[in-house]
Amino acid sequence: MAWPETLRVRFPVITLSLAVASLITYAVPQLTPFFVYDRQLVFEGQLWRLFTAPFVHFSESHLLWNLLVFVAAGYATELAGYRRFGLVCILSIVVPGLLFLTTKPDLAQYGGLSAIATGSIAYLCLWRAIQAHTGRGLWLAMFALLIMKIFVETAIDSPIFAQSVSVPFRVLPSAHIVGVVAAVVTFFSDRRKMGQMDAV
Amino acid sequence: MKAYRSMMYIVLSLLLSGYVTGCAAFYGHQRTSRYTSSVVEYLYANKQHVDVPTITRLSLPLQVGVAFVPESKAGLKGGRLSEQERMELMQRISAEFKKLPFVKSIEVIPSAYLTPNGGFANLDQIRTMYGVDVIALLSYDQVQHTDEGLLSLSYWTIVGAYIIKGEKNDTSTMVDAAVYDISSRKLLFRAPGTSHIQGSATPVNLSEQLRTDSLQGFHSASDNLVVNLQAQLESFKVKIKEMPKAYVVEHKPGYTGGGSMGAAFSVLLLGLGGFALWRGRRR
Repeated sequence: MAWPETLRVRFPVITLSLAVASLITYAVPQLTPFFVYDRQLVFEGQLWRLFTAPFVHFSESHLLWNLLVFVAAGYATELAGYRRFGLVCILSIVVPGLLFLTTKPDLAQYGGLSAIATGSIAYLCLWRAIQAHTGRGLWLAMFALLIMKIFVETAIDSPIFAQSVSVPFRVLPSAHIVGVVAAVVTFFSDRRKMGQMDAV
Repeated sequence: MKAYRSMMYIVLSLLLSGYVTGCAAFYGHQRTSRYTSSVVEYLYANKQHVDVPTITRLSLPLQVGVAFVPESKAGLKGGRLSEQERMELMQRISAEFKKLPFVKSIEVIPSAYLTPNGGFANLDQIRTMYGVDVIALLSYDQVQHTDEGLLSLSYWTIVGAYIIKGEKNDTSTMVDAAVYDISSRKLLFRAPGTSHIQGSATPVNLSEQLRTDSLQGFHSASDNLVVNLQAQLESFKVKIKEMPKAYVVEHKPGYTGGGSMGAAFSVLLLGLGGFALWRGRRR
């Protein structure tokens, strides 16, 4: 069942907006300390940091790889017409900050687009696994690879690809978990709506 | 009268010879100078007890200390860098450590806090005082040779000793940085820096020129050290990854966290995703 034409997205507005926001935040040095999640400052009332943290990056490589993956996945997702991709992004932006505030008292600062990037990949993989005529196994394999990576990182409490000493921060697998959960929840919500629309 | 003149000539000749000889003796002594300090002598002077390195736990971000080890007694001359000069050199080296993202702070430790042959017990005291986890111990070996060139013949004119630079100076310097994890007593990595300064001086300002050459030698060697330090640090990062049981990387409370896809995983995903999309379009 295809989405109605009125709901199809032709230009990747969400992907480009978030990507540009990340680039601007990195390019303007004064923005990083203003946008980064800072536990102490959040408790002092600077609540916007809970939602602007994903746009902050701590190094060029941090920005580069997150942006590459997000732009590729987000672009493909929006062009394919999966409009609820916006909900995946919103959940991936809002939830990590609130989660860390409540469950990680020793985390002083946080930033990075990887929750949204992970969510974008997971969302795209799920939809392509259902709708693609060929290569479904490949999309499922990518989704499985994503889950496996997160699982292993969570179990050993250490990144398996990003080197702790090379990056100026501690990689948080929980951010990726939030992205995947956001994607799965949105996907199954979409499927239910599709079922309801079919019934109508 | 003739006898008197002859006597005067003999006396003047003797006086002149004595003066010139005295000058030559005065300016000709101390042809080689050496300044040296040794990390091994500082840390392992007590041969009765040897600290065995244990598993190194690096708690990021690191607090690093920089200090010069006390001078070695083996140096032929007791000369040394002044404390101000040492602090300046340490600041130059510290500036490179400050750039590193996993370094929280750099403490420049005055030489007075390091006791001769103090060993790891002394480092433990410094760790308690400054809160440093890792310390970069700086040692050096500098040798200065002075030889007289052909122009030194002009010294016989007396005036030549003041204006002709007949003294040829050769200053060879090595500065070594050995980075230790204090808790585990383990040498993490080391890097040397060397320099070679050639100059000349008049006998009158020889000591001043030697001091200038000495300081310039230390500065040049420190610059070379910084370059080598960066290379050794990169090698050390690879070593940590290859030996996870020997080097454990932890994070202190109050750390910075980030979501990162990582380069390798990103490339893998982009490759797989691109291939999957391409296959879909082909059909």
